[in-house]
Amino acid sequence: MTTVSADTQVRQTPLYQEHLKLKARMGPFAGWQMPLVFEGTIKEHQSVRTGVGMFDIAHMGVVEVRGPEALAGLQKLSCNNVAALKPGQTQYNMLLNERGGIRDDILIYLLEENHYWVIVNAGNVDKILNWFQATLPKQAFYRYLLHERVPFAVQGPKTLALLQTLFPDFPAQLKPFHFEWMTLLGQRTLVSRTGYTGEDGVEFFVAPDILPVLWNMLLSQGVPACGLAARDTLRLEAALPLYGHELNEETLPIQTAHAWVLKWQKPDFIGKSALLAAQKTPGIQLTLVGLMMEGRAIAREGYMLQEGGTVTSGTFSPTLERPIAMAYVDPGYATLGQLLNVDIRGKWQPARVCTLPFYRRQKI
Amino acid sequence: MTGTAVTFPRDLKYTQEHEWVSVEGNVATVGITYYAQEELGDIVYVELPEAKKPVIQFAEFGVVESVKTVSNLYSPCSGEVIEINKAVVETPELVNDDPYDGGWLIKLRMSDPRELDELMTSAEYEEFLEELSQGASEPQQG
Repeated sequence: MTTVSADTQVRQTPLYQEHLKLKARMGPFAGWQMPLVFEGTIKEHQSVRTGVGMFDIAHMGVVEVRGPEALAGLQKLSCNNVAALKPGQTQYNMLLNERGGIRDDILIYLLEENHYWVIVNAGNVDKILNWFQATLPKQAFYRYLLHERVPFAVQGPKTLALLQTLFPDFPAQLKPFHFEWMTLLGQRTLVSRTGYTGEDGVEFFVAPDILPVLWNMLLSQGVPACGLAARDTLRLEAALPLYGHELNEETLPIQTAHAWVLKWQKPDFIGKSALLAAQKTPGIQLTLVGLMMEGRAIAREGYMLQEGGTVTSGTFSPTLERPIAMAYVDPGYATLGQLLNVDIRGKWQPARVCTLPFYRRQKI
Repeated sequence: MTGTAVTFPRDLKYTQEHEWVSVEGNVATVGITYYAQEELGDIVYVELPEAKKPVIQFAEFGVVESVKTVSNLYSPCSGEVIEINKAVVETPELVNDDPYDGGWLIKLRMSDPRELDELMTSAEYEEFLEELSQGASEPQQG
């Protein structure tokens, strides 16, 4: 008998047929067939900035870690302080390698003592499952909840008001980076006030069979379907890093805008000693900056800078109506207003270092 | 969705790279097709050559960028650029909204009108797109 590796298959989410019905532009992403665009990226982007939009994010991995050594195991494997979590809270965190490089950036949910969910990037699921297998202590058990819990995002300033009118059980007082259980379409469902758009909103973790029902219910309420292309422009305006672009096995958390995740007071975590050594040799690492292009050509991933360094993500910002990018540059150039030149098709195009994020929502 | 008659105007000729050309005397007007702008999505930047610049058939003459991607523009025929559409440089979404009219890109003085014979008619282009879509059918789950 031959077995086909999960890697070589193109997976479909529970919403695949719904995407075809809406004539979404589909494309492969991290081994999944995902919707990239529905009505148009800019239109979808603006829906989320000004109203509400929904995203199929079923490709994200939900991995349960539980057992008497669950906390101890996650403390060792991650660099943020997992012990600080109270039940019902969510934490941004990173899993590092021995060199201090980033294996994945994750969200950790504490359901109850020694019972966690770890949300990992789609492209890293296999890698992280293998890493858990090799590294978690004996009394910490992990399980990929692929067929049980499917993440689904509703984002935008009008999200909470809409969900409260649709679902009487919706936890209206839910705070950012908190979650609760609710009954949704007859099923026990976890809802967290998190997202990847820089906008207010929630992420549901639902049973796969009710997802198409929820999707069509929201569609009928006028919530536009949004594709991964809009998810990318939204997260880039909010300067949220994307694994494989701003983050990878060679990047250290201290180079990113998320060095705050490192909790040095933790007695030990994988990558700590390498990071301490790296900190003692300052100036050798590039640092992440935001770039605003002076002209209209877009600096895209992989484009080089004349002053040294590389663009990790670049797009047209629908909110600012001009090209924006993130890049790793020499710390000597990482000052606000610094003029840098990006090689765009053989011509040096000027860009200025700007504050991150490019877009910050108005807090009410 | 626009009808076939609008999607493939009969009086134009087409390239495999999804440019169209309309000819009046020895002047060729060049743009990208309805299909091309649909594939690209929201167009946010157009880079065009300067006037008087020579272009060569099937060689690159400019660039269009959508939010998601960069795409080169290839000339349907050889000649000299006599005019560029400043409106699309200022308002790139014109290419999405009106690819066959207001969204034209450049006008050329053709050096060899016989080159047009190498281009596709609207019927041939429509057939070409059909083949493309069959070649790129949805991957099946194993």
